[in-house]
Amino acid sequence: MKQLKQLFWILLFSFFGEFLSLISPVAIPGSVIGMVLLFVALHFKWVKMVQVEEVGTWLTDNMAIFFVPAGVGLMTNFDILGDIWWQLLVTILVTTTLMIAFVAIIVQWLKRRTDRKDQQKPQAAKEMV
Amino acid sequence: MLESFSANPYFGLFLTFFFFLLGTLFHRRWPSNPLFNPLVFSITSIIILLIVTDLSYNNYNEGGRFINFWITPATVALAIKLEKNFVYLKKYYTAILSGIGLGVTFHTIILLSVSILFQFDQELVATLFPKSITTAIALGVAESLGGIVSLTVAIVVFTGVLGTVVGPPIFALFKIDDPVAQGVALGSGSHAMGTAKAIELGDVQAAMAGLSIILTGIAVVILAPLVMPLVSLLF
Repeated sequence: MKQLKQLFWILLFSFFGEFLSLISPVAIPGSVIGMVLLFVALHFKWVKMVQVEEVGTWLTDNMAIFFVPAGVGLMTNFDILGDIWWQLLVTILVTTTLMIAFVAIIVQWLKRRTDRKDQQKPQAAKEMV
Repeated sequence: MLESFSANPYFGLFLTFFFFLLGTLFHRRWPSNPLFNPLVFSITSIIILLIVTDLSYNNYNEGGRFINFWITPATVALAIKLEKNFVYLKKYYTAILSGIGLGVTFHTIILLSVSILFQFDQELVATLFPKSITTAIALGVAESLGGIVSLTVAIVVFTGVLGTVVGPPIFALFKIDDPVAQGVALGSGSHAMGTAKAIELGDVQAAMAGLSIILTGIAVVILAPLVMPLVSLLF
């Protein structure tokens, strides 16, 4: 029963998300709207963490398998790819690798700077005293 | 007989679970071989099997769609990880927002450069531009820019698969050991599939990757109308 109730909440927010996505003038996926709505609901305690936690964690922790059918769907595009397939492959490989590396380096560098500032702050306060 | 049986939903369901679990088994045995990433392994095995046996994707998808269905609730449930790790967002929002903003701009520049090199036409550039964001937003962006929508779907999926493979070696190479940086990089570079990888790395990575899917999607949607005139000028 507990799992069913938890699943109910998650499906309810998925439903809200899909519905709002349908009537929204800009293309935002229902899943993303649903995630934002559930986050707001959890944050302001309209929905309690224990009401969704167990099933929700199970779903996210096994998320990878849900993408298998979409990946197999790649085979339906083999004909469009024709003779440009290797150029596309190189483009995707280069841009994806560089983007992940770039973002990781920038975020780590900026975050460490924030961390260092935080460490310096208490010292500065002491000096003022 | 196989042809008609393959249209039974249990055919696609069984294949998906079987090859994914087999991939998990191999992945545990040979953790560093990217071919045994369970997602890559199951996708390639099923494609090869369908081609060899001459069965259609539509038949497979009779079962596949029941698995595909769970992407939405799983994405919604990422809100749980987001709420649990909210303190990171609050503390490091400057780093996260700058990383994504600069990352999307950098990605656009690289993409345009490579496209010039390969002499892609305007339609193909528009198809590739939204590749690192989640499928549903990518579709809208590709359509508004005049790209080939069905090809965008394939490219987005492939980018996601690739991100799960190249992510961890990149982190090792550049000594990225910070969980926030790992999560944001995977989420912004390879959307929900990257997030699935981030979940394996840890809870903070998962929450940051989930958040980055949203923020990167927004960044690309905002950047698209600005990139459009540049694309028509260059290509």
